[in-house]
Amino acid sequence: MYYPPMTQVTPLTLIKRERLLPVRGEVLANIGDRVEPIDVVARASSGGELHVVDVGKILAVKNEDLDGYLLKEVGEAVEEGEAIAARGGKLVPLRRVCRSPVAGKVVAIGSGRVVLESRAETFELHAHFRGTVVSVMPSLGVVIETVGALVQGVWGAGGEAQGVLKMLAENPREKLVAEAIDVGCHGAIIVGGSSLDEKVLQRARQMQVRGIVVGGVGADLAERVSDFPCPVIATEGMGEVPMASVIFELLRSNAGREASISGVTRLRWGAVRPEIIIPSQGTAPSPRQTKEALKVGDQIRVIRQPYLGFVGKVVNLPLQPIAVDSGARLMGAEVELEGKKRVFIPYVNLELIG
Amino acid sequence: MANGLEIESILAADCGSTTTKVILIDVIDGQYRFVARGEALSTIEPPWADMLLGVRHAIEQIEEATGRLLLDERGQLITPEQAGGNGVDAFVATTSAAAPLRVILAGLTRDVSIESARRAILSTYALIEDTISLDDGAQGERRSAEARIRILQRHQPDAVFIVGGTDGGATAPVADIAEVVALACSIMDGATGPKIVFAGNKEARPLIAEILGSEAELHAVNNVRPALDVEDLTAAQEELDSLYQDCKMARIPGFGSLSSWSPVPVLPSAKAFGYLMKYLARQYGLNVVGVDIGGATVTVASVVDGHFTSVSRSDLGLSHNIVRVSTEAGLRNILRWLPFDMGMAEARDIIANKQLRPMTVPQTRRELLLEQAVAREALRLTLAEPRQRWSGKPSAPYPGLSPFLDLIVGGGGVLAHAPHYGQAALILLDVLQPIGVSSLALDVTSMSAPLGVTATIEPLAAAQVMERDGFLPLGTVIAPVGTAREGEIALQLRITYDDGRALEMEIPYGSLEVLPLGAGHKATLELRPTRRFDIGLGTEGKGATTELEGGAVGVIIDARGRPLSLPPTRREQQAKVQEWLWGMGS
Repeated sequence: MYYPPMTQVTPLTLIKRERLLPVRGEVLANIGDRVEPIDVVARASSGGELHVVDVGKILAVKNEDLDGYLLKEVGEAVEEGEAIAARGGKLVPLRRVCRSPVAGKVVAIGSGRVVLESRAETFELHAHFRGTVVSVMPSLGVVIETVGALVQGVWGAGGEAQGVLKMLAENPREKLVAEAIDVGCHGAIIVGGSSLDEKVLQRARQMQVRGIVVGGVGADLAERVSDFPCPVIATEGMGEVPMASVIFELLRSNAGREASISGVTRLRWGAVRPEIIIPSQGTAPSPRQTKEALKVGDQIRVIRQPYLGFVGKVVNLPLQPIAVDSGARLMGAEVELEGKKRVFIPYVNLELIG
Repeated sequence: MANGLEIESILAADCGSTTTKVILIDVIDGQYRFVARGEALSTIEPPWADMLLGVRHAIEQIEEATGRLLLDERGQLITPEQAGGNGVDAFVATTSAAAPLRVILAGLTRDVSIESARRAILSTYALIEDTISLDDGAQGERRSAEARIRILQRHQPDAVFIVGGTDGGATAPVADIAEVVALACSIMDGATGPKIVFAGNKEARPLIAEILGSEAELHAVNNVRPALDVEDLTAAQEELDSLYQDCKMARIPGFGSLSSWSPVPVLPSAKAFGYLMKYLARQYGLNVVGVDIGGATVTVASVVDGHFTSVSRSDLGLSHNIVRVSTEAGLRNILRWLPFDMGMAEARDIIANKQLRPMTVPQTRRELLLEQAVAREALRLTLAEPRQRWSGKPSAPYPGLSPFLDLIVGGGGVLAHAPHYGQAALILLDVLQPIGVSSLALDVTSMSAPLGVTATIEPLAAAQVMERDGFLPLGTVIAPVGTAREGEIALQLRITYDDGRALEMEIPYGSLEVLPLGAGHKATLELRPTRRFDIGLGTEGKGATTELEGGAVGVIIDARGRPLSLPPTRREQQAKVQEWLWGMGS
């Protein structure tokens, strides 16, 4: 038996996502609240820059005697230029004063030094997609639930964005080209076919698109894509790879609708995949569990060359290993790809899709 | 229990970052034997997020293969072994799937104690995020306290490893470093802040404890440099191992359930791998090198002249860390091992896709040879450290070359699953570049780490399985040391097979030849190097006669020269690599 991984590509499912602050803060939303993508559900002070003031040296006092000269304690706010320590004490005329170089607060004192953190900016956590708050984790964040279409990508960059889905390719093999991006793409999430190039990024930046979804992104381009001001998602992997037909068709059937996309990708230790959420109305089943063994009839996607991105159905599970072009003999499945081509795919090179 | 043995049947698991392997050991005819193995995808990450699932999947494969029930209907291990043969007496496990321990190294100067500390850290699954020292600035100057605190805050390390000073020496410099660390720790969240390992001047321990106060948990161990000319890494290595197990392994989802199956602690795979190499060296009196090229880590464990060294590069691997290998080694260095043209963009895409889909295997020869090329470079980078430690040993008479090695063991998916054994042998030869006469073996069933941990519960089981069902012998390699013009005769040999047939050959310098000698067969090999070549006897031109056992590849005469060098142009490199692959039957 083989237990394959799974990629979620589904037109209607129940979607629950944790929305967490990067550091502890204040949760603003309550259970049951209906939220829109731009609603702020929680906020926190993001840490400012650290500044170390060598007070002992400035005041010319021994480290162990410093306590008597400090005017601030850990946690106290300070303004730029405000005295944080002085020789002579609080009530007598000051002879030597040590002033804060920044506005912020005192975060640590020790070894004759005072550590200040400059005033932090407030980080606001948005809902990201339309839904209902179903759980609140005090100081940490919320869980938001919605019903809609869900597409998981393989690689992504950039943060999160929302916009209307706009198809710019006729088929999954068509490259996304700069010429296709016009003023009508302003504020939209554009969907191409197999890949993009640098001109596409330039044009998309000019037209202020909100996000890009393609089949593959060349590894050479990954760094530039990471600098792109909005999310980019590759549904299949790196290189010029046609988008899986089921994904292309699902996105096409949702063209013109509001979508929320996240390019956030973490491959290990709490893996996070990039994704496209398209909220809708009604009720839906929970996502299909992925703990089932592969069986005949399952819809799969090939995740390695030479059939990377192809979708098909399992038609046979041979009991013996089969030789592949590399010379290796591997356990795997016989798969009927779209177009009825029947091929052998090693188990580890396929995944369930659905 | 039968045979008077407390434990007869054992399931031993190794949970890697990509795959989970389980082997079944049982007593057959009074001896412990390897019975079956299962391999499944590791299930550390969502949506599974439970390492035990992967173990169960691998055990199910063993159940299918043997017809023996090992898990009950709730998926729990049936233990001890039942009268009808179901279940097992014991379960043991190793893992390399946890995130490495992230360490900030702090000390006085980079070249003495910090160098020792670096070696200690490389012995476990750990990454050095940054180094704080008296000469830590870009130009060798001292960074400001502010800069150091920012480093600590930015990295939020699991541990700060403070070293410095010889025992009985001055305490003030290391105290300065500790003060900055204490200040930084006071800003961090106490629950998740770093642990402090102090392995410096032991006279400074009370002072360090006073400085750190309640700001961080202090673990003081023996000084890594008690004197300028003495290095003592043992206590520091054990402490780092212990921290890794507590801070990292224990946090793998499902680790608690897995641990509850085992009567002994789950071990880091590299540690168990090292146990086995030490056992082989001690039992047979050998110089041994074991290499394990994993998905996220490359480990080299060796015993040379009785000195054990284990180095793990937790940032290099063939799946999760494959992009890092190509970045550090350079793509050109990878592509030089290919017998065909491949553009940089294509190679980058294949490598990046492997990192995105770490469980996948190459289906085409093109992708296979690229992965094997990456494996060479990953091993080359990892070997830089052990090579330093081998230097100066009696068995390493040639500076810059490998020592005389009796046994080389290769493990990890890229070697174990190579379609042709010759490919696995060639990877080992290209990078390790052994000299003299060495045996090559392959851990095809990935049993090194499982056997290493099995030894902690039933040493006899590990020893007997190793002896009878252990590694697959690939053959013997003879690599003369010396230089000549390409094509000049480096070695004359006569091989006499056990059926009486004999073969005489002249081996030209620059060539790679394989003489057939199958597993289970023996031969006598008479070697007569020419006057500029040494076949491992320490003397040029001195010949020898040796008894050989066969293997899956045969007898390999590697007269390509040491150090091995590739021609300068891509065309010539491709031709040479293709010639070597053909030479190895691949």
